[in-house]
Amino acid sequence: MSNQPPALGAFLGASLRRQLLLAYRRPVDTINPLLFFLLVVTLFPLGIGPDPAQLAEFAPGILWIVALLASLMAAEGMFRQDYEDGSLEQLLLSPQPLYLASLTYTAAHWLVTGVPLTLLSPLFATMLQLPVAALPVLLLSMALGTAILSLVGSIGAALTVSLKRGGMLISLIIVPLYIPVLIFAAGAVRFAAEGFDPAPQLLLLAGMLSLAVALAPFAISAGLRISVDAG
Amino acid sequence: MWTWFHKLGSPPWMYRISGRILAILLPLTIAMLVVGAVWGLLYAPMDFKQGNSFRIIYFHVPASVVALAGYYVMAVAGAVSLIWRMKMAEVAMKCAAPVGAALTFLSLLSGAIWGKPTWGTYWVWDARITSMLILFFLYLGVIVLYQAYENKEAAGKACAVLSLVGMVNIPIIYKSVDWWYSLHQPATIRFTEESAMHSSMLQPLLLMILAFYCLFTCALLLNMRSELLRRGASTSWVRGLAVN
Amino acid sequence: MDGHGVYVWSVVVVSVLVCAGLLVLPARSARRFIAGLSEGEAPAPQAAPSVRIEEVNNAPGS
Repeated sequence: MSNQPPALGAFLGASLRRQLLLAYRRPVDTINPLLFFLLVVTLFPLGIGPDPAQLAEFAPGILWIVALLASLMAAEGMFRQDYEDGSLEQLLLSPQPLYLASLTYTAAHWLVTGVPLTLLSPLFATMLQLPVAALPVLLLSMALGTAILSLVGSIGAALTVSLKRGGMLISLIIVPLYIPVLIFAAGAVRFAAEGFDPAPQLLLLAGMLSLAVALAPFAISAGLRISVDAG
Repeated sequence: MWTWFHKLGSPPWMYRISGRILAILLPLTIAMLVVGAVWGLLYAPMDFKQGNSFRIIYFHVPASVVALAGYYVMAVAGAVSLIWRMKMAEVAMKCAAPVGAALTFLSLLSGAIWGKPTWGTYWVWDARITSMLILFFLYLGVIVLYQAYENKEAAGKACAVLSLVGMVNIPIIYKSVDWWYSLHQPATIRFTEESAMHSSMLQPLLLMILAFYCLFTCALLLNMRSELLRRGASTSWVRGLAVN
Repeated sequence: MDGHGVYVWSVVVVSVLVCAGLLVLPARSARRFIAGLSEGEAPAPQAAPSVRIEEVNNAPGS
């Protein structure tokens, strides 16, 4: 019983590595949101017509709505496996701060869904006729925005992980909280596409990200404790 | 000194006191609603721009104001229940959600009906209306999350966390929706609220807002009484009620 | 009310319905619960009628 707990840095590194390894072993779960992104982006020109001017006008909104839905889809399963096999309970019993441990889950989720979405977004943006000048802003807004989506999505995932039908519930809980990200991120891309300065929106996104990093782990840890106690 | 705080946590005491409060507050609320409505509908002067349709303000604005305040009441009750593990605060939080959702619904519906004579259409993606719609979703999220948990203790805690997250987000959501609307605002639609209201129009409105706050309190207390009875179904104080 | 009467009065009707519902539904649910207790049945916390009333009570916009 006198085993020293591992140092905090080593613990967090190991936790993050474990999440990423699990994601690597189940590549379908990682690829699914990206395929979903591609599929829905394909649906829009079919639904609203192929006119390039019209597509370019709607592109910022379309890209961001689809990225939001893809992130939401991936958030649902974030804690599911660890809840079912008991690792989550182990984590709660461990002496390490849950605040930081829950951040590793979020970081892994962002690395596995947010970063690929960000990297692929210029491809989809080109398909939707978004002006090339707006691509750097799109990349930056995606990198910042998907990180916020991962943090907020983790709150919903932590609160619903013990429920049988958490899937529909998490969208109802989380989508209203995603709205500011959608407004400012799509607004930044739209500004860039129309030749205005998108810096204010990007700075607001960065501010929201700092707020979310500071506060969301409290809600995530509280949600995980409630879910493990309820199950 | 803290005895009142401990008493607040006692269901039979709360049940008795809320009964006494309601005996006074309920008739007062109904009287204020009737007086405010008659004053606003029949005696307040007509708005020269919007004509008589502006009288909808006497229902729409109070419902909106109290619906938003209700979310804060719910979230603060949730925080109290989490921090001090106070059961009564959890009951208050759970009971505030449907009342707030109903008022938000009233605000949305009256806003839509008001939109027809003012804007010529029932629904406009106006900043205020959109914010109220999001508030409605936030309320629904709390209600549905509570229903989804079978373990009601966990349900209370989960909803408290969710309502706190919502409370932190409400100012951000409102500001972002305002910014979004100012960016996309069509030039043809102008809301007439910039013009200051004449006091003869404002007085019935203030009375109605006060009446709706009292209505919220009454509905909250009534819901809490019902919930307290249900939670304490097997305790002696509830059985004692049945004898009388 | 010069053509706007339909809108104003429909808002009044809806408001009265919502306000009345907010006050009447929980009061009725509590009264029924006490009535159920005094009928002498063993008070079960999750009795069928009380659950039904609670659902009605929680319906949004009721």
